[in-house]
Amino acid sequence: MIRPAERRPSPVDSPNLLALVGLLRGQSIKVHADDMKALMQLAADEGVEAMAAERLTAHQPGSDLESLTRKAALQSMLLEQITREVLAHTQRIGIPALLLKGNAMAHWAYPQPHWRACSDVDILVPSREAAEQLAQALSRAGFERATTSGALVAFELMCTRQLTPDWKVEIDVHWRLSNSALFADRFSFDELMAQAIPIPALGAEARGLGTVHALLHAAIHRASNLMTGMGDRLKWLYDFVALSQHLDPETWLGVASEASQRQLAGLTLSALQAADRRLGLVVPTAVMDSLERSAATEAIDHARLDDWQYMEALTWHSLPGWGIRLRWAWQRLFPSRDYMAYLYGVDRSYPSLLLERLRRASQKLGR
Amino acid sequence: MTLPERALPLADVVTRRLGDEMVLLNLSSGTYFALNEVGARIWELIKEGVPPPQMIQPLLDEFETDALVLEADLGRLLADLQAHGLIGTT
Repeated sequence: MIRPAERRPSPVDSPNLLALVGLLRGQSIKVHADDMKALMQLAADEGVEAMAAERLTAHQPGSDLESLTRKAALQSMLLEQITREVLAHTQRIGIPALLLKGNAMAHWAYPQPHWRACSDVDILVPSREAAEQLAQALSRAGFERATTSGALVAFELMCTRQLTPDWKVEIDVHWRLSNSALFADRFSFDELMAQAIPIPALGAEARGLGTVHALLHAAIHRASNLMTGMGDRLKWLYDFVALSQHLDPETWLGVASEASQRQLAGLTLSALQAADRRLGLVVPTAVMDSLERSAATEAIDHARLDDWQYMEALTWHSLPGWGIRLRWAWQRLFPSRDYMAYLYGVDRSYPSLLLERLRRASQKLGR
Repeated sequence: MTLPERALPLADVVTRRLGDEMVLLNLSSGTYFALNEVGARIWELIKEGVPPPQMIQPLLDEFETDALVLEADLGRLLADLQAHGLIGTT
Protein backbone atom coordinates (compact mmCIF):
# COMPACT_ATOMS: atom_id res chain seq x y z
CA MET A 1 0.00 0.00 0.00
CA ILE A 2 1.13 3.55 -0.58
CA ARG A 3 1.36 5.66 2.51
CA PRO A 4 1.57 9.42 2.23
CA ALA A 5 4.98 10.01 3.72
CA GLU A 6 7.09 12.83 4.98
CA ARG A 7 9.09 14.05 2.03
CA ARG A 8 12.32 12.14 1.96
CA PRO A 9 15.35 14.37 2.10
CA SER A 10 16.78 14.71 -1.34
CA PRO A 11 19.96 12.67 -1.38
CA VAL A 12 21.96 15.24 -3.30
CA ASP A 13 24.67 13.21 -4.90
CA SER A 14 26.72 12.41 -1.84
CA PRO A 15 29.83 10.25 -2.31
CA ASN A 16 27.90 7.34 -0.81
CA LEU A 17 25.01 7.80 -3.22
CA LEU A 18 27.43 7.94 -6.13
CA ALA A 19 29.11 4.75 -4.88
CA LEU A 20 25.75 3.05 -4.45
CA VAL A 21 24.55 4.05 -7.90
CA GLY A 22 27.89 2.89 -9.32
CA LEU A 23 27.39 -0.52 -7.73
CA LEU A 24 23.89 -0.80 -9.17
CA ARG A 25 25.26 0.15 -12.58
CA GLY A 26 27.67 -2.76 -12.26
CA GLN A 27 30.81 -0.71 -11.70
CA SER A 28 33.63 -2.07 -9.59
CA ILE A 29 33.50 0.12 -6.51
CA LYS A 30 35.88 -0.03 -3.57
CA VAL A 31 34.47 1.24 -0.30
CA HIS A 32 36.62 2.18 2.65
CA ALA A 33 35.74 0.26 5.80
CA ASP A 34 34.88 3.55 7.60
CA ASP A 35 32.26 4.38 4.96
CA MET A 36 30.71 0.91 4.76
CA LYS A 37 28.12 1.38 7.51
CA ALA A 38 26.80 4.64 6.07
CA LEU A 39 26.76 3.23 2.57
CA MET A 40 24.80 0.16 3.62
CA GLN A 41 22.38 2.32 5.62
CA LEU A 42 21.77 4.37 2.50
CA ALA A 43 21.32 1.16 0.49
CA ALA A 44 18.76 -0.03 3.06
CA ASP A 45 16.91 3.31 2.90
CA GLU A 46 16.85 3.04 -0.88
CA GLY A 47 15.65 -0.59 -0.77
CA VAL A 48 18.70 -2.02 -2.56
CA GLU A 49 20.65 -3.39 0.39
CA ALA A 50 20.87 -7.02 -0.76
CA MET A 51 21.87 -6.10 -4.29
CA ALA A 52 24.52 -3.67 -3.03
CA ALA A 53 25.81 -6.21 -0.49
CA GLU A 54 26.20 -8.94 -3.10
CA ARG A 55 27.91 -6.66 -5.59
CA LEU A 56 30.25 -5.29 -2.93
CA THR A 57 31.09 -8.80 -1.79
CA ALA A 58 31.91 -9.73 -5.37
CA HIS A 59 34.09 -6.66 -5.96
CA GLN A 60 35.53 -6.45 -2.50
CA PRO A 61 35.92 -9.89 -0.88
CA GLY A 62 36.08 -9.78 2.89
CA SER A 63 33.61 -6.91 3.22
CA ASP A 64 31.64 -9.14 5.59
CA LEU A 65 28.21 -8.38 4.18
CA GLU A 66 27.03 -11.95 3.82
CA SER A 67 24.73 -11.65 6.83
CA LEU A 68 22.80 -8.85 5.08
CA THR A 69 22.32 -11.03 2.02
CA ARG A 70 21.19 -13.97 4.15
CA LYS A 71 18.72 -11.76 6.01
CA ALA A 72 17.28 -10.50 2.72
CA ALA A 73 17.05 -14.05 1.39
CA LEU A 74 15.24 -15.25 4.50
CA GLN A 75 12.77 -12.37 4.30
CA SER A 76 12.18 -13.16 0.64
CA MET A 77 11.64 -16.86 1.44
CA LEU A 78 9.09 -16.01 4.13
CA LEU A 79 7.26 -13.66 1.77
CA GLU A 80 7.29 -16.36 -0.89
CA GLN A 81 5.52 -18.76 1.46
CA ILE A 82 2.92 -16.16 2.43
CA THR A 83 2.34 -15.42 -1.25
CA ARG A 84 1.78 -19.11 -1.93
CA GLU A 85 -0.66 -19.24 0.97
CA VAL A 86 -2.61 -16.23 -0.33
CA LEU A 87 -2.72 -17.69 -3.83
CA ALA A 88 -3.98 -21.00 -2.43
CA HIS A 89 -6.88 -19.06 -0.87
CA THR A 90 -7.74 -17.39 -4.19
CA GLN A 91 -7.86 -20.83 -5.82
CA ARG A 92 -9.93 -22.33 -3.02
CA ILE A 93 -12.59 -19.64 -3.36
CA GLY A 94 -12.31 -19.57 -7.15
CA ILE A 95 -11.12 -16.00 -7.69
CA PRO A 96 -8.70 -15.17 -10.52
CA ALA A 97 -5.79 -13.10 -9.23
CA LEU A 98 -2.71 -11.31 -10.46
CA LEU A 99 0.36 -10.63 -8.37
CA LEU A 100 1.58 -7.05 -8.58
CA LYS A 101 4.66 -4.95 -7.91
CA GLY A 102 7.95 -5.96 -6.34
CA ASN A 103 6.89 -9.29 -4.91
CA ALA A 104 5.87 -10.47 -8.38
CA MET A 105 8.74 -8.90 -10.32
CA ALA A 106 11.28 -10.26 -7.82
CA HIS A 107 10.55 -13.77 -9.05
CA TRP A 108 10.86 -13.23 -12.77
CA ALA A 109 12.50 -9.91 -13.57
CA TYR A 110 15.39 -10.08 -11.09
CA PRO A 111 18.32 -12.52 -11.18
CA GLN A 112 17.72 -13.29 -7.50
CA PRO A 113 14.35 -12.72 -5.80
CA HIS A 114 15.87 -11.24 -2.66
CA TRP A 115 17.55 -8.50 -4.70
CA ARG A 116 14.15 -6.80 -4.87
CA ALA A 117 13.33 -5.72 -1.34
CA CYS A 118 9.65 -6.00 -0.57
CA SER A 119 7.65 -6.55 2.54
CA ASP A 120 4.07 -6.75 1.23
CA VAL A 121 2.04 -9.01 -1.01
CA ASP A 122 0.04 -7.01 -3.56
CA ILE A 123 -2.62 -8.92 -5.39
CA LEU A 124 -5.20 -7.74 -7.91
CA VAL A 125 -8.64 -9.33 -8.15
CA PRO A 126 -11.48 -8.49 -10.55
CA SER A 127 -13.84 -6.60 -8.26
CA ARG A 128 -14.54 -5.09 -4.84
CA GLU A 129 -16.70 -8.12 -4.08
CA ALA A 130 -13.89 -10.53 -4.96
CA ALA A 131 -11.52 -8.50 -2.76
CA GLU A 132 -13.98 -8.78 0.12
CA GLN A 133 -14.28 -12.54 -0.40
CA LEU A 134 -10.52 -12.97 -0.36
CA ALA A 135 -10.10 -10.71 2.68
CA GLN A 136 -12.71 -12.78 4.52
CA ALA A 137 -10.92 -16.01 3.57
CA LEU A 138 -7.65 -14.57 4.82
CA SER A 139 -9.32 -13.46 8.06
CA ARG A 140 -10.59 -16.99 8.63
CA ALA A 141 -7.03 -18.24 8.06
CA GLY A 142 -5.71 -16.06 10.85
CA PHE A 143 -4.79 -12.82 9.07
CA GLU A 144 -5.97 -9.62 10.73
CA ARG A 145 -8.16 -7.23 8.78
CA ALA A 146 -6.71 -3.72 8.76
CA THR A 147 -8.51 -0.51 8.03
CA THR A 148 -7.90 1.28 4.77
CA SER A 149 -9.01 4.75 3.79
CA GLY A 150 -12.30 5.37 1.99
CA ALA A 151 -13.24 3.34 -1.07
CA LEU A 152 -12.71 6.33 -3.38
CA VAL A 153 -9.23 6.98 -2.00
CA ALA A 154 -7.88 3.44 -1.86
CA PHE A 155 -9.13 0.62 -4.05
CA GLU A 156 -7.84 -2.07 -1.76
CA LEU A 157 -8.51 -4.07 1.36
CA MET A 158 -5.70 -4.94 3.68
CA CYS A 159 -4.90 -7.91 5.90
CA THR A 160 -1.82 -8.34 8.03
CA ARG A 161 0.04 -11.07 9.86
CA GLN A 162 2.89 -10.76 12.34
CA LEU A 163 5.56 -12.87 10.66
CA THR A 164 8.52 -12.06 12.86
CA PRO A 165 8.76 -9.87 15.97
CA ASP A 166 9.67 -6.87 13.80
CA TRP A 167 7.77 -7.64 10.60
CA LYS A 168 4.02 -7.46 10.14
CA VAL A 169 3.43 -8.50 6.56
CA GLU A 170 0.64 -6.74 4.66
CA ILE A 171 -1.55 -8.40 2.10
CA ASP A 172 -2.97 -5.63 -0.07
CA VAL A 173 -5.95 -6.92 -2.01
CA HIS A 174 -6.56 -4.48 -4.86
CA TRP A 175 -9.49 -4.31 -7.20
CA ARG A 176 -8.00 -1.52 -9.29
CA LEU A 177 -4.47 -1.27 -10.62
CA SER A 178 -3.78 1.98 -8.79
CA ASN A 179 -5.08 3.60 -5.63
CA SER A 180 -5.00 6.95 -7.36
CA ALA A 181 -8.40 7.65 -8.91
CA LEU A 182 -6.46 9.38 -11.67
CA PHE A 183 -4.97 6.09 -12.88
CA ALA A 184 -7.26 3.47 -11.37
CA ASP A 185 -9.29 2.71 -14.48
CA ARG A 186 -6.63 2.77 -17.18
CA PHE A 187 -6.75 -1.03 -17.49
CA SER A 188 -9.48 -3.53 -16.78
CA PHE A 189 -8.71 -6.73 -14.91
CA ASP A 190 -9.52 -8.78 -18.02
CA GLU A 191 -7.10 -6.78 -20.17
CA LEU A 192 -4.35 -7.35 -17.65
CA MET A 193 -5.16 -11.03 -17.23
CA ALA A 194 -5.08 -11.55 -21.00
CA GLN A 195 -1.40 -10.49 -21.06
CA ALA A 196 -0.45 -12.06 -17.72
CA ILE A 197 2.64 -14.21 -17.39
CA PRO A 198 3.14 -17.30 -15.22
CA ILE A 199 5.43 -17.03 -12.20
CA PRO A 200 6.33 -20.68 -11.60
CA ALA A 201 8.59 -19.79 -8.67
CA LEU A 202 5.45 -18.86 -6.75
CA GLY A 203 3.37 -21.86 -7.75
CA ALA A 204 1.87 -23.48 -10.81
CA GLU A 205 -1.11 -21.12 -10.83
CA ALA A 206 0.76 -17.89 -9.97
CA ARG A 207 0.33 -15.10 -12.51
CA GLY A 208 1.79 -11.63 -12.69
CA LEU A 209 1.39 -8.66 -14.98
CA GLY A 210 2.85 -9.11 -18.45
CA THR A 211 6.11 -7.30 -19.14
CA VAL A 212 4.53 -4.26 -20.82
CA HIS A 213 1.86 -3.90 -18.15
CA ALA A 214 4.41 -4.44 -15.38
CA LEU A 215 6.51 -1.59 -16.74
CA LEU A 216 3.53 0.74 -17.13
CA HIS A 217 2.36 -0.17 -13.64
CA ALA A 218 5.83 0.60 -12.26
CA ALA A 219 5.57 4.01 -13.94
CA ILE A 220 2.10 4.60 -12.44
CA HIS A 221 3.41 3.51 -9.04
CA ARG A 222 6.30 5.94 -9.36
CA ALA A 223 3.91 8.77 -10.25
CA SER A 224 1.84 7.96 -7.14
CA ASN A 225 4.99 7.96 -5.03
CA LEU A 226 6.10 11.30 -6.41
CA MET A 227 2.64 12.69 -5.74
CA THR A 228 2.74 11.61 -2.09
CA GLY A 229 6.24 12.96 -1.62
CA MET A 230 8.05 9.63 -1.40
CA GLY A 231 10.46 10.52 -4.17
CA ASP A 232 12.44 8.21 -6.42
CA ARG A 233 13.77 5.36 -4.30
CA LEU A 234 16.47 3.44 -6.12
CA LYS A 235 14.61 0.14 -5.75
CA TRP A 236 11.69 1.55 -7.74
CA LEU A 237 13.97 2.96 -10.42
CA TYR A 238 15.88 -0.30 -10.58
CA ASP A 239 12.61 -2.08 -11.44
CA PHE A 240 12.83 -0.41 -14.86
CA VAL A 241 16.36 -1.71 -15.32
CA ALA A 242 15.31 -5.22 -14.27
CA LEU A 243 12.27 -5.13 -16.56
CA SER A 244 14.33 -3.79 -19.45
CA GLN A 245 16.34 -7.03 -19.41
CA HIS A 246 13.15 -8.79 -20.54
CA LEU A 247 12.18 -6.36 -23.29
CA ASP A 248 13.16 -6.94 -26.89
CA PRO A 249 12.85 -4.10 -29.44
CA GLU A 250 9.36 -5.20 -30.43
CA THR A 251 8.11 -5.29 -26.83
CA TRP A 252 9.63 -1.85 -26.23
CA LEU A 253 7.51 -0.56 -29.08
CA GLY A 254 4.55 -2.24 -27.37
CA VAL A 255 5.35 -0.19 -24.25
CA ALA A 256 5.26 3.03 -26.27
CA SER A 257 2.06 2.09 -28.04
CA GLU A 258 0.21 0.94 -24.91
CA ALA A 259 1.41 3.98 -22.92
CA SER A 260 0.14 6.26 -25.65
CA GLN A 261 -3.20 4.47 -25.93
CA ARG A 262 -3.76 4.63 -22.15
CA GLN A 263 -2.66 8.25 -21.78
CA LEU A 264 0.33 7.12 -19.75
CA ALA A 265 3.08 8.24 -22.13
CA GLY A 266 4.16 11.24 -20.05
CA LEU A 267 4.59 9.43 -16.78
CA THR A 268 6.26 6.48 -18.53
CA LEU A 269 8.65 8.85 -20.28
CA SER A 270 9.40 10.59 -16.99
CA ALA A 271 10.09 7.25 -15.23
CA LEU A 272 12.38 5.98 -17.98
CA GLN A 273 14.27 9.28 -18.08
CA ALA A 274 14.74 9.14 -14.29
CA ALA A 275 15.99 5.54 -14.49
CA ASP A 276 18.36 6.56 -17.28
CA ARG A 277 19.71 9.56 -15.36
CA ARG A 278 20.27 7.58 -12.18
CA LEU A 279 21.02 4.06 -13.36
CA GLY A 280 21.92 4.36 -17.01
CA LEU A 281 18.82 2.57 -18.29
CA VAL A 282 19.05 2.12 -22.04
CA VAL A 283 15.80 2.61 -23.94
CA PRO A 284 15.57 2.51 -27.74
CA THR A 285 15.53 6.05 -29.13
CA ALA A 286 12.42 5.36 -31.20
CA VAL A 287 10.55 4.46 -28.02
CA MET A 288 11.59 7.64 -26.21
CA ASP A 289 10.71 9.73 -29.27
CA SER A 290 7.32 8.10 -29.53
CA LEU A 291 6.61 8.60 -25.81
CA GLU A 292 7.67 12.23 -26.08
CA ARG A 293 5.30 12.87 -28.98
CA SER A 294 2.38 11.21 -27.19
CA ALA A 295 3.17 12.91 -23.88
CA ALA A 296 2.85 16.32 -25.54
CA THR A 297 -0.82 15.59 -26.29
CA GLU A 298 -1.77 14.31 -22.81
CA ALA A 299 -3.69 16.18 -20.13
CA ILE A 300 -1.12 15.42 -17.40
CA ASP A 301 2.03 17.51 -17.44
CA HIS A 302 4.63 14.87 -16.62
CA ALA A 303 7.04 17.51 -15.39
CA ARG A 304 4.66 18.14 -12.48
CA LEU A 305 4.17 14.61 -11.14
CA ASP A 306 5.73 15.68 -7.83
CA ASP A 307 3.45 18.73 -7.51
CA TRP A 308 0.83 17.22 -5.22
CA GLN A 309 -1.57 20.16 -5.46
CA TYR A 310 -1.55 19.92 -9.25
CA MET A 311 -2.02 16.14 -9.10
CA GLU A 312 -4.83 16.36 -6.52
CA ALA A 313 -6.57 18.96 -8.72
CA LEU A 314 -6.27 16.62 -11.71
CA THR A 315 -7.72 13.78 -9.64
CA TRP A 316 -10.62 16.00 -8.58
CA HIS A 317 -11.39 16.89 -12.17
CA SER A 318 -11.08 13.28 -13.30
CA LEU A 319 -13.92 12.17 -11.01
CA PRO A 320 -17.30 11.96 -12.71
CA GLY A 321 -19.68 14.44 -11.08
CA TRP A 322 -19.89 16.58 -7.98
CA GLY A 323 -21.35 13.90 -5.74
CA ILE A 324 -18.34 11.61 -6.16
CA ARG A 325 -15.92 14.53 -5.97
CA LEU A 326 -17.34 15.65 -2.63
CA ARG A 327 -17.28 12.11 -1.24
CA TRP A 328 -13.67 11.73 -2.43
CA ALA A 329 -12.69 15.04 -0.79
CA TRP A 330 -14.42 14.00 2.46
CA GLN A 331 -12.61 10.65 2.47
CA ARG A 332 -9.29 12.39 1.77
CA LEU A 333 -9.80 14.95 4.51
CA PHE A 334 -11.43 12.82 7.19
CA PRO A 335 -10.27 9.19 7.05
CA SER A 336 -11.31 6.80 9.81
CA ARG A 337 -9.55 6.84 13.18
CA ASP A 338 -8.15 3.34 12.68
CA TYR A 339 -6.71 4.24 9.32
CA MET A 340 -4.98 7.36 10.63
CA ALA A 341 -3.67 5.43 13.64
CA TYR A 342 -2.16 2.89 11.25
CA LEU A 343 -0.87 5.55 8.88
CA TYR A 344 0.86 7.62 11.53
CA GLY A 345 1.83 4.70 13.74
CA VAL A 346 0.20 6.16 16.86
CA ASP A 347 -2.89 5.07 18.76
CA ARG A 348 -4.68 8.25 19.75
CA SER A 349 -8.19 9.69 19.85
CA TYR A 350 -9.87 10.74 16.59
CA PRO A 351 -9.52 14.51 17.26
CA SER A 352 -5.86 14.08 18.14
CA LEU A 353 -5.22 12.14 14.94
CA LEU A 354 -7.06 14.75 12.92
CA LEU A 355 -4.79 17.38 14.46
CA GLU A 356 -1.79 15.28 13.45
CA ARG A 357 -3.21 15.10 9.92
CA LEU A 358 -3.70 18.86 9.90
CA ARG A 359 -0.12 19.39 11.12
CA ARG A 360 1.23 17.20 8.33
CA ALA A 361 -0.99 18.88 5.74
CA SER A 362 0.31 22.30 6.84
CA GLN A 363 3.88 21.10 6.46
CA LYS A 364 3.02 19.84 3.00
CA LEU A 365 1.39 23.15 2.06
CA GLY A 366 4.46 24.98 3.31
CA ARG A 367 6.68 23.18 0.85
CA MET B 1 30.38 -42.10 12.88
CA THR B 2 27.76 -44.25 11.15
CA LEU B 3 25.87 -42.51 8.42
CA PRO B 4 22.09 -42.82 8.33
CA GLU B 5 20.75 -44.94 5.49
CA ARG B 6 18.36 -42.26 4.30
CA ALA B 7 17.96 -38.51 4.73
CA LEU B 8 15.03 -36.46 3.48
CA PRO B 9 14.29 -32.74 3.70
CA LEU B 10 11.23 -31.98 5.83
CA ALA B 11 8.17 -30.54 4.10
CA ASP B 12 8.21 -27.08 5.64
CA VAL B 13 11.83 -26.37 4.83
CA VAL B 14 12.49 -23.86 2.07
CA THR B 15 15.87 -23.09 0.55
CA ARG B 16 17.57 -20.39 -1.45
CA ARG B 17 20.90 -20.49 -3.27
CA LEU B 18 23.17 -17.53 -2.52
CA GLY B 19 26.21 -17.92 -4.73
CA ASP B 20 28.10 -20.89 -3.32
CA GLU B 21 26.05 -20.85 -0.14
CA MET B 22 22.61 -22.16 0.56
CA VAL B 23 20.19 -20.77 3.12
CA LEU B 24 17.67 -23.16 4.68
CA LEU B 25 14.63 -22.05 6.61
CA ASN B 26 12.24 -24.19 8.62
CA LEU B 27 8.94 -22.35 8.31
CA SER B 28 7.39 -24.04 11.36
CA SER B 29 10.14 -23.28 13.83
CA GLY B 30 11.72 -20.24 12.17
CA THR B 31 15.09 -21.98 12.42
CA TYR B 32 17.50 -21.13 9.66
CA PHE B 33 20.81 -22.51 8.59
CA ALA B 34 23.44 -21.33 6.14
CA LEU B 35 25.43 -24.01 4.35
CA ASN B 36 28.81 -23.45 2.72
CA GLU B 37 29.67 -24.73 -0.75
CA VAL B 38 30.17 -28.35 0.35
CA GLY B 39 27.11 -28.24 2.61
CA ALA B 40 25.05 -26.79 -0.25
CA ARG B 41 26.11 -29.67 -2.49
CA ILE B 42 25.21 -32.16 0.23
CA TRP B 43 21.79 -30.55 0.50
CA GLU B 44 21.29 -30.95 -3.24
CA LEU B 45 22.17 -34.63 -2.93
CA ILE B 46 19.71 -34.97 -0.04
CA LYS B 47 17.01 -33.39 -2.20
CA GLU B 48 17.85 -35.75 -5.05
CA GLY B 49 17.22 -38.62 -2.64
CA VAL B 50 20.79 -39.92 -2.66
CA PRO B 51 21.35 -42.14 0.42
CA PRO B 52 24.11 -40.63 2.62
CA PRO B 53 26.54 -43.55 2.22
CA GLN B 54 26.35 -43.03 -1.54
CA MET B 55 27.14 -39.31 -1.24
CA ILE B 56 30.78 -39.92 -0.39
CA GLN B 57 32.06 -40.73 -3.86
CA PRO B 58 30.46 -37.84 -5.76
CA LEU B 59 31.65 -35.45 -3.06
CA LEU B 60 35.18 -36.85 -3.23
CA ASP B 61 35.05 -36.34 -7.01
CA GLU B 62 34.04 -32.70 -6.62
CA PHE B 63 36.00 -31.53 -3.58
CA GLU B 64 39.56 -32.12 -2.53
CA THR B 65 39.31 -33.89 0.77
CA ASP B 66 40.09 -37.11 2.55
CA ALA B 67 37.38 -39.82 2.58
CA LEU B 68 37.48 -40.29 6.34
CA VAL B 69 37.32 -36.58 7.05
CA LEU B 70 34.49 -36.20 4.57
CA GLU B 71 32.50 -39.04 6.09
CA ALA B 72 32.90 -37.59 9.57
CA ASP B 73 31.91 -34.10 8.37
CA LEU B 74 28.93 -35.50 6.50
CA GLY B 75 27.76 -37.38 9.56
CA ARG B 76 28.08 -34.25 11.72
CA LEU B 77 26.22 -32.11 9.20
CA LEU B 78 23.36 -34.60 8.88
CA ALA B 79 23.08 -34.78 12.68
CA ASP B 80 23.03 -30.97 12.86
CA LEU B 81 20.38 -30.71 10.16
CA GLN B 82 18.26 -33.26 11.94
CA ALA B 83 18.69 -31.54 15.29
CA HIS B 84 17.52 -28.27 13.73
CA GLY B 85 14.43 -29.90 12.26
CA LEU B 86 15.54 -29.57 8.66
CA ILE B 87 15.76 -33.23 7.67
CA GLY B 88 14.48 -36.59 8.79
CA THR B 89 16.79 -39.62 8.80
CA THR B 90 16.42 -43.35 9.11
